[in-house]
Amino acid sequence: MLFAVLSGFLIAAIAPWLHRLSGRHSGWLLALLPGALFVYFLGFIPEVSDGSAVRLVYPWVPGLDIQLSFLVDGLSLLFALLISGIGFFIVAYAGRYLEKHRDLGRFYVLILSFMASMLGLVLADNLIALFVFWELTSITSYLLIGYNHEDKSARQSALQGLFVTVGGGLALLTGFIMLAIVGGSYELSEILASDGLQEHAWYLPMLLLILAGAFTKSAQVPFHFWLPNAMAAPTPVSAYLHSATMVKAGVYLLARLNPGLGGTETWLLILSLFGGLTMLTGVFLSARSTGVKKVLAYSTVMALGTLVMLIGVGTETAIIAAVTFLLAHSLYKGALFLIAGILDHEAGCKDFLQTGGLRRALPVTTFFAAIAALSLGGVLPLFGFIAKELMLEAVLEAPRVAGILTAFAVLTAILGVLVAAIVGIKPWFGPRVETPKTPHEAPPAMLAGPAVLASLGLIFGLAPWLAEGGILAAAATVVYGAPLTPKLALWHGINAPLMISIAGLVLGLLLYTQWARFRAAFTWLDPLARQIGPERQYERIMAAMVASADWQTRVLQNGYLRYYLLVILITTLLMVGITAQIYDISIGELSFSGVQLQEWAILGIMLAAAFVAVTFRSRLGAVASLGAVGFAVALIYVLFSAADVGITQVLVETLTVLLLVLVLFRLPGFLNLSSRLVRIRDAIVALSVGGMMTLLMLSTTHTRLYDSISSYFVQESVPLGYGRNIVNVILVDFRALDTLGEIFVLALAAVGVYAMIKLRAEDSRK
Amino acid sequence: MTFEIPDFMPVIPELFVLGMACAILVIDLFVPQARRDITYGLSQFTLIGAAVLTIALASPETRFTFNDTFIADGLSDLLKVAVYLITAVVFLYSRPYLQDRDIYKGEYYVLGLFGVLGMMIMISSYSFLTLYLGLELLSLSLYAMVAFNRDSARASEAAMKYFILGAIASGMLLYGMSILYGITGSLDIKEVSDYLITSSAGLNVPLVFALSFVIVGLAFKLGAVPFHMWVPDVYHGAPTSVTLFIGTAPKLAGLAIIMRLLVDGLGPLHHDWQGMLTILAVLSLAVGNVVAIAQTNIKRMLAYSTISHVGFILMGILAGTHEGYAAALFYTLVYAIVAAGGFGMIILLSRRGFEAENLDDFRGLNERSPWFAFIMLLIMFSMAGVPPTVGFYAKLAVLQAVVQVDMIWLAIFAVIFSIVGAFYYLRAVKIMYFDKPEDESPLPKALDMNVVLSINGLLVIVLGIFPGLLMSLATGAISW
Repeated sequence: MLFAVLSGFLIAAIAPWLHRLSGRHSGWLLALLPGALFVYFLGFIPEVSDGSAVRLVYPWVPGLDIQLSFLVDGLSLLFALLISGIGFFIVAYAGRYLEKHRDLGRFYVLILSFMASMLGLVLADNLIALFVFWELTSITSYLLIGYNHEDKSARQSALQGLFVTVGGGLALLTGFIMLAIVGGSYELSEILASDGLQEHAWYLPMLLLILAGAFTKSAQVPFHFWLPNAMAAPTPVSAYLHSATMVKAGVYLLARLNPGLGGTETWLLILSLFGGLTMLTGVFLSARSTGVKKVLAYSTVMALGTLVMLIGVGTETAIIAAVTFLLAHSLYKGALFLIAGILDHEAGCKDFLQTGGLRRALPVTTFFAAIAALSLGGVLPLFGFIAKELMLEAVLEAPRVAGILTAFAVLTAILGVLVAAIVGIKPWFGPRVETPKTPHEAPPAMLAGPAVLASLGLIFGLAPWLAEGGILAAAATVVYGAPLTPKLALWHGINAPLMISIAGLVLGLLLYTQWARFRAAFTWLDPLARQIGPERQYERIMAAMVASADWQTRVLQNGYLRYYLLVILITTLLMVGITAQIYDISIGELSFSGVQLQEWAILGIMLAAAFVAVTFRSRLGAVASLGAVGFAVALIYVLFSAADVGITQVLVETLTVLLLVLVLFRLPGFLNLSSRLVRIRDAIVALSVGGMMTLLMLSTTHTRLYDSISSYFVQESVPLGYGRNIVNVILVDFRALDTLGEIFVLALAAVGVYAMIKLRAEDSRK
Repeated sequence: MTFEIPDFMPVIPELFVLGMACAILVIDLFVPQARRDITYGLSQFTLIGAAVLTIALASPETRFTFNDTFIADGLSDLLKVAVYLITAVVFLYSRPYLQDRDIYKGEYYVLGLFGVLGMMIMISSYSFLTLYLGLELLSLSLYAMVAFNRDSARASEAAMKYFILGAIASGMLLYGMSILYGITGSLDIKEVSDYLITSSAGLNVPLVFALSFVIVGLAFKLGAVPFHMWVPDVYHGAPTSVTLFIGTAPKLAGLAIIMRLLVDGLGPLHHDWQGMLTILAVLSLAVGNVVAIAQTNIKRMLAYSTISHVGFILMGILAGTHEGYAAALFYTLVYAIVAAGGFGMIILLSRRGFEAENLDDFRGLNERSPWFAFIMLLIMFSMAGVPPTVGFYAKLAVLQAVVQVDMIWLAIFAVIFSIVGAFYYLRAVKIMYFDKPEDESPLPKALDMNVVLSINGLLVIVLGIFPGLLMSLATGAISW
């Protein structure tokens, strides 16, 4: 199994080489891989058709509880078969379609890697492994969209799809982590088997995060805009990624999680309403478009919406409808996309308005296009009809909001027929329209896909038990979480769904005759959509983000050191202040009773000098008055009979003032650059920081945890140091090493100064 | 008082680097400019030798020396080896850059080696004193390196800002440590921690001050918002080779001092610093990711991205669990590898008289060199945290740790801003793959650089596919 999943990556690595070796037929050669995988997965059908599952585990990252475990059950097998089966035709098709493209080799690398990632996604049982494959599909699909990057629109939409899906993916990751913690395991099968997921307090945030991932990936409203924009990719890519496989990953995930997370009111309402809305939006936009791929893209949005809605409704019929619809849609949509590629490749048409009457030039294509379109429209006796009947039935008996959903479904049924008519009638029948290229039938490699996929739609329609017995029953059982035995049949008797279908068919065809008028009738929506549509919102959010980034850069990162300092000081102040506030900490009481008159006087001198220093206009004056502060401090030392410290203070103060004067002397005159307001602000900040420091000093002097060391010195000075001057003993005896170090530093500094002076002298001699 | 001869075994790598750095400083004086490769070779030899010594001396047990001011344990062994390797890569990337700009001088390597020594001391410090010594040795080397290209006004300005702000931050850190000393009566990290555990006094004013100052100092050194302003200016102003150095290895040392000082020393106050770190992490994530969008200069963009990554590292630490610390360590290691590759790419695209500093210089890289466009793609995806690159596991580990301690809101906040962050990383990818190149010239560079840069880029994905080894190293190195 591990090999089956990874074989895509392995073959991808040598694909360019194989391509060069086999030349024209590289498409068929490389298609053998998905073909072989399809056969391999077919072999699992007997094992899982009774609802059981095969689980394989390989160790991977033990430190993070990640293992590469795969689960093959009805649901994953259905997807795996679709991925490998359609993959077979896509690769063969691309070999021809992109025959003349210079980077075909690289294309194979990407498409095979994509296929492998997609297989990994649907087969993985470990949440993290699933997520890794999930993001891998985003990346490979991104590079595939960018494959045709000569195209201007490809470049514009390149970032959008990736950003939306990767963003959603990150949300999904958080959801997964929460899910794993609640479920007590990273293994999906174990999480879904555990109880209490829905009652947990994290249920809602977890669900919303997971839905964000699933909705972005599966292009649900309001994230549906990226999908049509991604259609700039080459047609085989659109056919594979954007209809049959990748966009269904979100649907897959919801289906997979349904037994564990589904069934709640929240789940039901969110999924069915968003899904229903997406369904209607998709089909409406599809019917209004004329670009071949745009019509198909929006109709895919419709299908994805339908699937999400059905999973949300969650009744037995709804789940059966969902898996049936899933299969039907993959078959007809894959075929139609490939036919769209043929239209482009063989007739040069990218817009339905450019086409018409091609049935004579392309008879085979016309035939299969018609079958696929009939399935899309849900017409008897195709598989699409069964799916549509089931869908209508499920909606009619939905446990909640059945009325709204039915209204959505009826409208969708009508417009769906219109879309089917646009696809199935417009290009092929009616008067011949001049096409950009002379049309001719496509080569077999390109016809094989549409032919087989469209025919399967017919075969399954006529003999639904083929699909049902093999895989659909098993898949539905997995999604529902309890055994289901669907009885698919073409004819259910005359009932409400049939009536709606017939009405839809008639009205849809009527609308088709008025297609141009239909489109014209809604042109007034365009400016509105441009104004308030989700794409516009996306652009707005992006613009707002850039604007706020610009603003922050201007405000926070203006390059001025003084602002940086300001921010640092204020933050420090706040941190200290808030913490002190939270812990309700206060400093001890202050008392000024013991302060003598002369001390007050010195304090006055210091304050005055400090005030002069900050207000003085000349630098030298400021430095001098700052010096006065220092000398006043020295005076305090002297007053407290620490004459030696006082002398040191005086010396240091003198030295610094001298040094400062020497430096400042060379600077240009003092410029007054700051306004009054700025000065007031600076003063406030300075006072607050100073105040904080003062409080700090006061509080630390209050806390005395240890006895002062001075008593030790007083006692031991004579017996240990044989000296009566305690300071001297401390310097040369108790702290002799310190003193040595200081002398050493001074000596080094002196040598440095000497070297610099000498260097300078030599310089000037030269 | 007896004087004990300290056990020199645990410090042999430090002594080796110190001796070699001094020797190279002297030897370089006598090396003619044309044979500057000798200095380069010796510097690389020093790093490799130190790595060999560290690995040879590594043992699972914890070793102390110098009166328990120096510690050698699993964490220090792992981080030191990482520092050597990252620095060796930095030296290798720097060589062509320096040569092209005629600043290929021995001082660059000597300062770099002293910086490495500083980091080693920080990593192994078990006392406030050694910690501060190491920090200052590193900082002083970095200040000088930023101003290394003396003809560049921008570099000088950046160095000046870095120096002044750095000095203030060092001052605050020192202040905080001195208050701690006043309260606990010890500089020894173990004793500080013991005191805090046994004393039931709770938070008092000095402790609040001390904690705040220590955190301000650490936050500045790491570049966490709102102490981040130096980061973009310095990253932008410094020569790219120096930015490469500042942006990688010192983060490892920064993590080490957080582990020693906050987690080990002030661990008993975890509840109190958790809140402070949460604020820093939240701000870093928000500002780093959002402001990066507005940058057109890729060095500034990476500077903001660093800030946001620091937010993630802080998240791991504030979780306060074994998993959280291991996640932070793993994240930092991954970040250093990825950042080395990112700045390496800038150097690769630059040449004599041209700095590939703007995002636009990466336009259409895919057409000029598909291979290096792919390498850059891996690096960007890793920074954005997209699997299967290793950056994903780093984010995953941190998010797991945070969710495990019930801080879901923080995890969701981090994810929202990671999405914002993904935007600018992906934009860089888009520019490389979808835009037309403005500059069609091929990329002529030294073979060794191309090879190592390729390995560096591929490591991002290889570790992403097999993250188990690095993860178990990180988990094993954390003993808390």
